[in-house]
Amino acid sequence: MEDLIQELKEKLIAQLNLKHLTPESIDENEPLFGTGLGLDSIDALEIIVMMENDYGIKLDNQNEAREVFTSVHSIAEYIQKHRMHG
Amino acid sequence: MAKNRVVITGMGIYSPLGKGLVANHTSLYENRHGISNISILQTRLSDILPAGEIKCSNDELRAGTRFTSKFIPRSVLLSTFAIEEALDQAGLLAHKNIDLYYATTVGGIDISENLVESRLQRDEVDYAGFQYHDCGASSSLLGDYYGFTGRRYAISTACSSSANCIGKAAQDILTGKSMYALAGGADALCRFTLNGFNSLMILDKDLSNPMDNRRRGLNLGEAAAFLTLESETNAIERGATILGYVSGYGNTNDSHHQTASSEVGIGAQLAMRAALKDAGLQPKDISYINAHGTGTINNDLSEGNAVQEVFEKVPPIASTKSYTGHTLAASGSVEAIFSVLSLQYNEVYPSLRFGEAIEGHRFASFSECYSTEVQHVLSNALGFGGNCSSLIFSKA
Amino acid sequence: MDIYIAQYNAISRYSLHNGEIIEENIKPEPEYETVLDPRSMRRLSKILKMGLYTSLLAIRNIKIDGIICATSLGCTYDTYAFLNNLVERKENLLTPTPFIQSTHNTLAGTLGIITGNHGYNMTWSNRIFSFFDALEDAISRIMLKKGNTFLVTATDEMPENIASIIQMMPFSTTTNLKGEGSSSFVLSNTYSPGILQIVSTAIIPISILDNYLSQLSSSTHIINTHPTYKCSPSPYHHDLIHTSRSMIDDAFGLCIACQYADFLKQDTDTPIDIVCLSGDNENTSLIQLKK
Repeated sequence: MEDLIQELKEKLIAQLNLKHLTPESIDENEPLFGTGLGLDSIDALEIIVMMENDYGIKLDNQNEAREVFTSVHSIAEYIQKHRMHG
Repeated sequence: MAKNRVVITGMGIYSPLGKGLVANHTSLYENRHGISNISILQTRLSDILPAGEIKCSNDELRAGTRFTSKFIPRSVLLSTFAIEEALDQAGLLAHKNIDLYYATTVGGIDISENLVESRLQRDEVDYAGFQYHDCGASSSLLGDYYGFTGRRYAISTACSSSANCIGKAAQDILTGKSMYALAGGADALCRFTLNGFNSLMILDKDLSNPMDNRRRGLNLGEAAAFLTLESETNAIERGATILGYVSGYGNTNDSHHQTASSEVGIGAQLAMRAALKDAGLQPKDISYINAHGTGTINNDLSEGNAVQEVFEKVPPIASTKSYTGHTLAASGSVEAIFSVLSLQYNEVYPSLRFGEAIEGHRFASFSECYSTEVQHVLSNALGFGGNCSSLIFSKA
Repeated sequence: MDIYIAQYNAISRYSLHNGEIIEENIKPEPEYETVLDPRSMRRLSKILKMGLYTSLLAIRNIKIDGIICATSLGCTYDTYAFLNNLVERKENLLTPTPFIQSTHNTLAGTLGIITGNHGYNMTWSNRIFSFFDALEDAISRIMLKKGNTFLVTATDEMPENIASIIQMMPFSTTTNLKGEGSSSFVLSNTYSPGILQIVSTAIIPISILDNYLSQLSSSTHIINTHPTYKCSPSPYHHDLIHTSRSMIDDAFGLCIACQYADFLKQDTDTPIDIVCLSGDNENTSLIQLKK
């Protein structure tokens, strides 16, 4: 789980162009959307693409992404859960 | 002194409903859409996404023109037919002093995308093919093709592009800057836009349901559509048939998000109000609204909210994108022509497959074409970048 | 006509030093963070950063009624990036950001969002006449009393991939490989002492250009960004283009004219006349200015 969380932080920084951040500066429980990291709906779409391309997990729409992906930790949990059933 | 008015004396169209005004009107009247499985464009998405595709290859289209180069963009090939029909109807085929107001979002990218693919795959590339990539190239090509001696313009404001061409051309007619204007646009299906819209997750895998609570997204389409505009005085003087009036134009910005509209549709509200003010009309004067109505969750909710804010009593409202798909830059001029047909035939064209009003809206669209008195039609074109344009057309 | 250039700003390879027009090879990019929000900057391509930068500086302390942009090639970096992605991933699910930012009106739309401006919003993309058309559009809006103040911004970018494609094209194009930058102007109908006035704009056939110019007073300054036409030698005539050129050079020319007028006015009270001259092989565009 630790490795996955580290990996996710690195991927988010790369995919979403968060050049001003480092993995260490992102709290795994910090909110991703709205407050905290302040991601928006375009980022939600980018995360959906990342989930499908890198983890083989399909999401139906960006609203689902925003509900499920409240923090890095919640993304990691989702991946672990769906990987087991994958 | 009576205010001079802008009149439409010619229209031309090539859309998924067919080649020419008669084919398009017949399809509209008979509630027959032109959306199908993609078969001409070579794409991995052809099995998944229906579209309003014109069932003619580029070679077939080109054979009907004087163009010989395989690098001429598909949107330009479609335009030649539509421009000729419009000029012919207006009796201006031999006339050269015409100002061309041309709209496109992707210009020649249907050609460029294949060349880029070859380049990336390290295949042989004929780099001459890139010369028509940009928007202005299309306007230039068509201007040269017809030997137009007037000004050539190219506007690119996403889905509101050709509506803006019509609005701008109408204003230039009124100020005397232009005597004869050919206003409209074209966009062709290509992998770039198909994949682009797919990445936004706003495409429908089935036939779209615009203005309906069950809507899932849009179908893309392709088309070319043009109108010839001139002053009423000039048209009367030369004995041209007046098909309708461009009586109002509003251009605003929603100022909310690059690819989504604000929930209240403030940009659309302001554009409709501006068009009404420009036309000297009240909301109750509008007989029919041809909505932008793409069929996306966001647009139809937002646009409907804007409509019911402006119109205390909402007139018949529908989206003809249920027939053609979303033809992007051409949609403004395609739907302008449908609006004028509505005026000419006293018919209103529906949102095909409509069944359930959108939650939160106190009005409902309708599913079949019917006859009714039509005096003024309002047509909306709402694009990416928050570009909102509204046009009002009035009976001749 | 009562049209003035109230404020302007540019990221341009042309600059004015003590009355002399200097052309640099590459203009270093400014520190965008001083004007743009760093968090939202993360996605932006160069053309958007440049366009936002000069636009936001040009409209400082001014309330605008509308936004009019011009670009000849549009957002080529993101267009190419999306195509690259499309080919590499064989049309499987693609990242949307480059597509969203590839439309020609991205800059005008983003400016609308940042400024909260609901007014007129337009994008002209007509090769070398894009800037001139945008300028005439702004003038027309003011003359029709559809607003008092309009922002006009011209931008173009030249990423490496696009430059290499252009170099491989078998015949000369009107695109300058240096054709990158941004130039913003605020047009207004409000006079203030010392403001630069746009007297007129026109497009005339190149065949009558010599005749037209011969009728100007000999002390009229000419800022020339036409690709082939060369002015007669005179201390008042400035040919800016020495190789091929692109649309953005026309906007740079107007910016130099503004700076030049400011410079000359330091030493004199007599009116200064400037003409910005450009166009293509058939037509010339003319912007007549007075300070």
